[in-house]
Amino acid sequence: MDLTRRTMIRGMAAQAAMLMAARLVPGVRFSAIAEARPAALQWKKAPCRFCGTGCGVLVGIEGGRAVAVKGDPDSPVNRGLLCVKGYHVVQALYGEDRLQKALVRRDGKFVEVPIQEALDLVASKMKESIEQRGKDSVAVYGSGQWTIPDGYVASKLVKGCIGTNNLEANARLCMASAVTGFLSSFGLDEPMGCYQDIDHGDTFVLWGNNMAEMHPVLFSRILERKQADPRVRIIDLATRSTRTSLAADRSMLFNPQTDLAIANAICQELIAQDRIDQGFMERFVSIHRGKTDIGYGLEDGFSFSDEATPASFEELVEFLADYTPEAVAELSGISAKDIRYLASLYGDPNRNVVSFWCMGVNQHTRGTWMNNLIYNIHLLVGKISRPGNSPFSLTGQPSACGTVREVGTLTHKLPKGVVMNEEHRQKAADIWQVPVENIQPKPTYHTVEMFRALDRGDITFLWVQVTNPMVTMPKLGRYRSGAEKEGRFLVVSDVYPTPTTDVADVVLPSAMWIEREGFYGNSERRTQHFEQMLEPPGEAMSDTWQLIEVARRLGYEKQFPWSEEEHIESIWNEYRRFHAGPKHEMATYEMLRERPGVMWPCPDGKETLWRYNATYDPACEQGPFDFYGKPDHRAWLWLRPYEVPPEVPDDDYPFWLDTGRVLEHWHTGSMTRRVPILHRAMPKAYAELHPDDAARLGVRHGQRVRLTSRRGALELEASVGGRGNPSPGQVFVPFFDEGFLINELTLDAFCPISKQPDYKKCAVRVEKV
Amino acid sequence: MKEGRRYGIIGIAVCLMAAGVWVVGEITGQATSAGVTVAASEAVTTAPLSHQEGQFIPLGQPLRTAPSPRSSRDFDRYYELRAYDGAPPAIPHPVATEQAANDGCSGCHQYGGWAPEFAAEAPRTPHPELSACRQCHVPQRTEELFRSTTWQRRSPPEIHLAALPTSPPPIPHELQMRENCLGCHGASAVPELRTTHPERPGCLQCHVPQAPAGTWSRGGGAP
Amino acid sequence: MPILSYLAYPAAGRQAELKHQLNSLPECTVHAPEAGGGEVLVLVTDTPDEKAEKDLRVRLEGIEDLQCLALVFGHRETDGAAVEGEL
Repeated sequence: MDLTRRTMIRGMAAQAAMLMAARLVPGVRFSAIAEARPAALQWKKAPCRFCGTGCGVLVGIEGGRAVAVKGDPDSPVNRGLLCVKGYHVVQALYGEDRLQKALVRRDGKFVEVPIQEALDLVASKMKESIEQRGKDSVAVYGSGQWTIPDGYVASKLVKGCIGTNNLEANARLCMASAVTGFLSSFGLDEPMGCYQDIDHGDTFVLWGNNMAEMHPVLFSRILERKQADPRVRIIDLATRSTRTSLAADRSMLFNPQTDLAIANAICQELIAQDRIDQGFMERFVSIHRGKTDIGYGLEDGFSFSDEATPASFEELVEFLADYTPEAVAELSGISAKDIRYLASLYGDPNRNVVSFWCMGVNQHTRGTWMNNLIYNIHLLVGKISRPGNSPFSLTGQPSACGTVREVGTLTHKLPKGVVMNEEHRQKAADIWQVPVENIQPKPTYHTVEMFRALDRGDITFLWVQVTNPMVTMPKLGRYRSGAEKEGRFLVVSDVYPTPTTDVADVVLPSAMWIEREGFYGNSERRTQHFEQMLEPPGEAMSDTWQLIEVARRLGYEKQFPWSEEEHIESIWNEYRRFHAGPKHEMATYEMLRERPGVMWPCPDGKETLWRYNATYDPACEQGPFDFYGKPDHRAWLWLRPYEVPPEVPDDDYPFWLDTGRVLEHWHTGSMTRRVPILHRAMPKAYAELHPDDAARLGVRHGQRVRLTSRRGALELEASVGGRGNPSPGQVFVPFFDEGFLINELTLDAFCPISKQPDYKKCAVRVEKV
Repeated sequence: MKEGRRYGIIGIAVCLMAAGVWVVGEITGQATSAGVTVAASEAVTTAPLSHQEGQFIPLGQPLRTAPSPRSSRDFDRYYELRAYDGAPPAIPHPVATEQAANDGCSGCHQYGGWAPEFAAEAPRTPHPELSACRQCHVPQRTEELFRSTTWQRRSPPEIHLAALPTSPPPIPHELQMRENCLGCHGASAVPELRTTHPERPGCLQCHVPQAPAGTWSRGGGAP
Repeated sequence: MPILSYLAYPAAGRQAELKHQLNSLPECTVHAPEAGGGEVLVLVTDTPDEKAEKDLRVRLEGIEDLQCLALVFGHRETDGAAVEGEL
């Protein structure tokens, strides 16, 4: 029995006796009744640990443990509502197998060592690799689960001090196409709008986004909006029928990859229906043509850079001529009538349209193009940067925006700008107090190429924090055997054992979420602070402090001078200097401590809700719109064609394989599977088949099937009529289950512009076992 | 042994002071067997009954209450379905399909009442305005865990904390997502939580929320 | 691990002394009523096991200023077991 409970029972015992005394002895009064009760529950605010929605949670702390959760009613993100993961997020802290001690592999077996000794070893191995094979032989790989201080010290250490651009993050597998989409269309990353667009919108088009399961709190906000206004329409454009499809007003199922053609057909139809906002196009948009036939990055060392050529409106019309609704109907499987309906929704001057997308658009070998194409639609009708008119790219990780995109923990990025730009390098060198020559002007490896370099032996030291690449890398077999090769030193910081810690040489126990202080940044540019509420277990240490400890061992005490008590605040204040100015001003530490998140840009303590719109955005130099991210102060509309995917089903591998998430589990399930209610609701992965395909194969629900691709095979249970329903000829497998590693089968083709792999399309064979 | 039963807490009255009884809510079953009067389980039956053989009768207004002789739910089960007081409960019965986020849940749970299909009282949702039920409520397909947990379940809130023997007890829990008292205290509630006077709809007139000491305050205003 | 609570009646005029003596026992927590509130104390005992509990009772009975000890509340860890009758 724990102490808290005993305290409570003692309190009850005392109260019972006091009440009895009050009856027996006239006039007796005990002031101690309240004191005798156990210490009250304390509620503290934090952003949820899981997805990129960034719901505000209030964590109930009692007796040094987290004991309850409620949605923060003051959070403008979720207004008090959470999903089943959020309501149980604190249970993710309490898996029995939490890593509490550092582990070092000796003679093939892990032995526990004091964490300081493990950090000594990490630093000496890092040094050894740099001395023997150069700076570019060491790399750090993190994720959008890094807090902002984690990512910031990682960037300062790797890019500023060591002097290599070998810094990447799992967000490359998740958000990179959104970033390149924003940069190519607007010159600045992250959405122009905010979640309030849901309250102002009446038409919601979901592009390959199973929002009911992946962003349930936002989807509920749409459903509430629909209850309040019968004009609201929800359109689900997808390759698979899901809970979102069933809740939508219209579900349109298209053939994989043909979203490119559908978006162009909508543009074609908008022009044909004369729905273009001519004034907006003339004043605020410029048209560009990029390269075509750009490849898929399947070979080592693949490189590509796009080139923009100005184009006229007439050239756009000519380019779109191929994409008539009829022609695209044949390719996509969506009827011409439906395409015209979509165009009429986007083109209706009395409708406010929000487009939402996430992995379906981003994990795409033409992911950047797909992002551009959705912006094209909104630009043609001028429905952008206004309340309720918003192309809205959602994120999957709690700080994909805050840490990876804003701090810039990618090979080409700096906290402000890119390594290729001399001015940006100089700014970083000034703030970091390092010689500018330290910062290398050339990007090195993006994520897929980084793991290829590890396999080849060009990288010999890799430190992975807060992510699980041995579950998430596509074509996993190659990258796992690469990590296991002789002469590779792999350090993994995590909170639980995972398939990635299994192949590590050193495992560092990390403090998780509210066991340390930090910040996350969500999909709507909202930065959220959380204080340390709990003591980390055993010797667990925050990822920030692990990096600082190693940096000091490498001789960078001057750049990492902070004390444990104040380092998070000091790091925030240093980091804020990068973003000073009306286009990206970050809130002060004090504001962030007080409020349920603050949206940037936040000049003079005032949040910017809609960027590029002079009514709301003080950074605009002209009105009513100023797309100031581009030198011509215009948004760029791109001519992006349909191109075929790298691998399509054929006679040997006749099915499309699509992978993704489920409501109950987040990312690779290393946290959510340790939450009892979530594991019990969704205990294992499965292969979803269309009932017709299942009948043809003679497979019933629950029977085992073998999936085989050119890269690997996997046996698991079939799901027919289960959670989702793929179109005929497709199979869907969730990736949360480390017992069924579906990424053994996926293809490591990526978008040549964003370098983000496509987890949604490859060819497999399905057989009954 | 279920967690709620682990405490053998009994009240022994000194002298013959039958009126002064300390009731510990979570162990009412045992307390009764130990010979202590338990006010909470004495639900007053007011006609008409909410359950009749062979049919489901949704409970509209006005509200009725009746203890269900066959209800499979009790106080322990009520908390067993929740990770902590205030957590969304798991779905304790089979579900027809996984495909929709609301697969007819509201048929039984909008008003609550006797559901012969499950031979159980269907609790009434305290938040009928939220329609994506499966966002927060999930069925349990296995008893097993992926890895065991060191989670410590907080004791349910103390009840019957009335200042005087005759005064209405304060509300010992948070009201967020539980604004509609009838969700947990109406006719289809577990016996220990059922109101004795459903004809009085203004619950908050007499029962006031008991704010926990040391409530976190944000200081500055929300934007 | 029993937790018990009692009403402890002091010998006439000896409430303060009784409170002090009970407080000096590590297993005991004493709650006194507000000033002028009456001659009674609330005693809560928390002992690791049955034996310690019985030993404590022997010590309590030896306190001269204690006139009467009345058990109000009993709790024990083991499943469902009631506090034994001889208490």
